Amino acid sequence: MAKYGMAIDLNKCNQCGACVTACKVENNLQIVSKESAAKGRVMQWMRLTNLSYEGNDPDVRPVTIPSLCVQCDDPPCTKVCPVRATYKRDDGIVAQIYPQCIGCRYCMANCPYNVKVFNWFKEDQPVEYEKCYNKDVAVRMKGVVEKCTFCIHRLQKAKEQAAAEHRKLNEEDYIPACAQVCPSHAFTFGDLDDPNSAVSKLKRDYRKFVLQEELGTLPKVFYLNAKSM
Amino acid sequence: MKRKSGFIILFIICAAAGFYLFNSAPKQSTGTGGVTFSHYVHTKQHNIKCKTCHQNVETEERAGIPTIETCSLCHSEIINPNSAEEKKITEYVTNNKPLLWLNYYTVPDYVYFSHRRHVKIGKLDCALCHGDMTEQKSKELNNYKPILMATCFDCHKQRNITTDCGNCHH
Repeated sequence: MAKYGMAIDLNKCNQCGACVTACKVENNLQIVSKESAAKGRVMQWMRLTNLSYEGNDPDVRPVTIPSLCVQCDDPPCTKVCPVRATYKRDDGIVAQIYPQCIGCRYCMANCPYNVKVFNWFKEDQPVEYEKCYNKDVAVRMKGVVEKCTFCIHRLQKAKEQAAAEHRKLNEEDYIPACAQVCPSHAFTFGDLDDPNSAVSKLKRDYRKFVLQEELGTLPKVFYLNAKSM
Repeated sequence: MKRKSGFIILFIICAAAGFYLFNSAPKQSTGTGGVTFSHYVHTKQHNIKCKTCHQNVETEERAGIPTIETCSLCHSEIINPNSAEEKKITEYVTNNKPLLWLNYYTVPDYVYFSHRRHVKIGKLDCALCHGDMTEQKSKELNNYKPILMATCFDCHKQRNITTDCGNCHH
C-alpha cells in the first residue's frame, strides 16, 4: 500500500498563489462574503501563511509558505472526532466524510496546523463559479468541517483508469491540483514507501524540515529550505 | 361549538399533512415527459442491449441517457405503424427536438458512484442495482429498487471490496 506524501521546496516557490487558486477551484470551495471573511471565516484548504517580511521600505516583500493539511501519520484530529467523520486511510490520507460530520469542530480545535475550515453558512455563489463546479467533488453542506484530502477524487479516478487499462497505478497518474499547477515545480508528490520515488529522495535531503516537529504528529507534507526564513 | 372547531382544525392539519406527503413521495416514472418509454419493448421484444442506449456505461461515471441522435438510429423510419408512442418519437426525430428524460435512479451529491468501475471493471450486471428493468412497460416503474448505502455495503462485503468511506464520499 502506497503512503502518499508531499515535498514543498521553498527555495523554488515564488509565492504566486496558483496552488491556492487551483485548490479552491478543484475542490468547489465556497466563496464567502466580505463580512464573513472579516470574521476569519475564509474557506481555504491551502493558504499562503505569512511568516515575516524581507527587504527595506518601500520594497518590502512578505515571506510566505504554502500551508495545507500536512496529513499527519499520527493525526490529532481523528482522535477527537466522536463520529469517525475524519479518519486516516490505509494509504495515509486523512479523509473527511462530510455527510458523517456533525459539526462539533473538535477536530478543528485539536489541529495544531489550523488547516481545517468550517461551513458556517451557505452563501450565494457567483453563477460562473457554480457552472464550473468539479462534479467529482461534493459541494459541502452547511455545518460541516472540511479539509484538504490530497485531491482524493483524483486518486479514485486514477485507480479506475489504471484498472480499466489492466495496469498498475503509476506515480505520474495521481497528482493533487496544487502540485500540478505550480509553475515553478516547487511541489513533489508521490509514494513515501517507495525508496526510489522523487518524494522519498527529497525526504532524505539535508534541507528537509516539518512544521511543529516537536508535537510528534509525523506530517507527510514536508518543506525544503536552505535559506534563513 | 368549541369541540366542532377543534375537529375542523384537526381536519385541516391532516389534509395539509396528507397533501404534503402525497406531493413529496418519489415520482416513480420514466419516460420523456411526452413519450412513454417502454424498456420491455426495447429490451425484450427487440433484444436491444442496455449499453446500446446507455452508451457511457463502460467508459464514464454516468451511464448516460440517450440523445435524440441515438433514437434516430432506429426511429428514422416507422417500425410499428400501430404504436401511438412511436409516432410521437418519430416526430421528435424528424424535428430533431431534444428529449427531456425524467431522471429516475440518482445518488446524492455527496456520493461518488462510477458506472465504469462497477460495470467494466467489476463486471456487474445492471439488474443488480436497477432490478429487472426489462419488465417495465408503462410510465410507472413498479419494480423500483431503492439505492441504499446498506445495499452497497452488503455487496462490497460479500465480494471483499474495500468499504473505506473515502472511496465513495469525497
